[in-house]
Amino acid sequence: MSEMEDAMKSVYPRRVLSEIAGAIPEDCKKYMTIIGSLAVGYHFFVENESMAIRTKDADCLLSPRIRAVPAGKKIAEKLFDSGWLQAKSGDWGKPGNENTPPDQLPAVRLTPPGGKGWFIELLTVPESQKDRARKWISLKTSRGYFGLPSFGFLSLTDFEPLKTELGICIARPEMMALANMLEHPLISTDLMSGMIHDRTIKRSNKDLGRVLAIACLSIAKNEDIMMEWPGLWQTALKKRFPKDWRNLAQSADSGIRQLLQSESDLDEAYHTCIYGLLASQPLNMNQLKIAGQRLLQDAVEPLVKMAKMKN
Amino acid sequence: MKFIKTKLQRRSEGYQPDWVADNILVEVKTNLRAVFAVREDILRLSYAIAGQPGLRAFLLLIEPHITESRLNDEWRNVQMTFRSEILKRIKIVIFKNGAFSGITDEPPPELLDDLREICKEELSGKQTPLPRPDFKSEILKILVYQWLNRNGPLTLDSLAKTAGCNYRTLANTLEWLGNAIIRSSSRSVELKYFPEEAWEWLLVNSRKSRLTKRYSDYSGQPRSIESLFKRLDRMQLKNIAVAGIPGARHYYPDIDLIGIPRLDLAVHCPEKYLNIDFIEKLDPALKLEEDPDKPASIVLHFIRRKDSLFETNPLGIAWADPVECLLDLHEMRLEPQALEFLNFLKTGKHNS
Repeated sequence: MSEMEDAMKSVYPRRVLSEIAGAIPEDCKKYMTIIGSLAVGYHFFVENESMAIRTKDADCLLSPRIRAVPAGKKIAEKLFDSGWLQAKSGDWGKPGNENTPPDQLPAVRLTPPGGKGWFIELLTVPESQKDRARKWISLKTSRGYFGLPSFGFLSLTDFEPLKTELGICIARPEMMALANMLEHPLISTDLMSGMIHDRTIKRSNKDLGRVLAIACLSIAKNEDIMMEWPGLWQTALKKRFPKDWRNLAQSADSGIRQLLQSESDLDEAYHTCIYGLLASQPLNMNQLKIAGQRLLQDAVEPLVKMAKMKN
Repeated sequence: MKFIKTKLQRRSEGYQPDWVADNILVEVKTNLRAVFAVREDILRLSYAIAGQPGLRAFLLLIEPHITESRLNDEWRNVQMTFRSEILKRIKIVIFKNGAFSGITDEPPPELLDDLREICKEELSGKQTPLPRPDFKSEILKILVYQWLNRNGPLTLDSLAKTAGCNYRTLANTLEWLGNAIIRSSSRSVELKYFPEEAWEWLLVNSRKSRLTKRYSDYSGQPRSIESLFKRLDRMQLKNIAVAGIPGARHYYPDIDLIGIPRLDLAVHCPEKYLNIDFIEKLDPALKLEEDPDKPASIVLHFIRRKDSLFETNPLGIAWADPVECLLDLHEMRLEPQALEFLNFLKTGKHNS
């Protein structure tokens, strides 16, 4: 399969982030956090501009939720005016009207002028700590109505985000890892809509694979850094999910454990890593597995232990 | 309470738990990997106590490979399925790394000693057995340690106790050391001088007598010695001490050594069975290296005498005694540094 048919494109995190930072209204930057592989790539490869990652989208999380709609509208209008176009996706990309149910509206997915193989997608945080399913709120623009999705554990990804020199924030890699682990307590059979380098991959394996990639990249930067994560995770969980944090923390390990025990699932996760975040520093599958075991020992098991402690 | 190991394990006509006391049944599973086995055992124990309200049952999991989180999940499923009046009389107890925990309640304190005895008995046949200690080497090392530390004579009784051997073995070794030994009227002995010939014998013999296991990193991202130190420190293992180059440097900071190519650890195991589970906890990337020509990240040496002679430190990691560190330098073929270290030790300055 050629790269044109692949869902993922090679992009340079710093260049993409610079372009986004330069394009969005200045007063909206404080409401935006870049999440996903672009944020991971920027965090780990910012000092090496030649390091590319493979992704298709730049996920932009707007928060707090009360600011998400006005900020989303302002960002969309500014980008439309600057020549950004809604990404084509059959009929699905066409904006709706005031009668379109929010869950039928297209997400704001805008490609920069000249089409560079990637697009930004606007998202927001769930309204309450109980909202785990995907929900949409409508976003009225001069081009019609769009939807702003929120789901799962997105509220963890904007916990104490890291400010970049470009003026916008990126999510902490460890918080994205926690959100992904909580999102996938089991390996489900749901498949990704697009292929990743010639293979169809389970969504759980792609997201949990990203957790392993974050572990590998974090270890390469600081071999003991994961020992600092349980404290931060506990603080974030208590803040975002005060009623449910203990149960959530105790289930954080189950998806990763299942992944590490299943050769076929781990192989899919490995595939997404070597054609994604770890493309520039290949490793073998056993080494990826060891990174997962280290993650469990250094970070996840201490978190589970903290959640069990009665105080 | 007196627990008795049942003689018949499983009979086609009925189930019999592994251990029984007056009103308690204990089913034991060692190194369990599959959660379905837990389910089956809970079912068996439920059948066994269902008709007898006075009976209690424990499923004792020794060093399970299943996480507590998974066991908690399984217990929740069991709770939704079984009758509560039966389940409240069944407990899962985990014995791991020498400590007990429970799913979901802590095990009853009044039974911990009995349960520990059961664990000891169950494990005695399942851990890696070690060969008989080489007491001749151990006695020699103790005497050298005493001599280098200027500790003076040791009574025969104390020497035998430190080594963990009988008088016959001790007497034979002292006879072998011949003129190097000074005997006093108070049934005490010490070395008269550094026993060069016996030491040469020890160096030749040490590879076999000390027992060594080597581990290599398979992660592609090997942990630094500092990181391994930090983790060892957190584990607070009483039977592990740092030896090798960092150990030698601890006693002799000016030793002519740059860097630490590997971490040598002394493992005190006077018992017949070996438990080195801590290696996996230290770093899951470490795998046993069978090829002696391949470099190792961590090397374990097993100290078989009764007294470890570790320099204990309540605030951190223990240090192996200087004699073990010296042997490690020889094993690494760092002969000039070993000689330099020995000469320093002979001055007694490390002990001042």
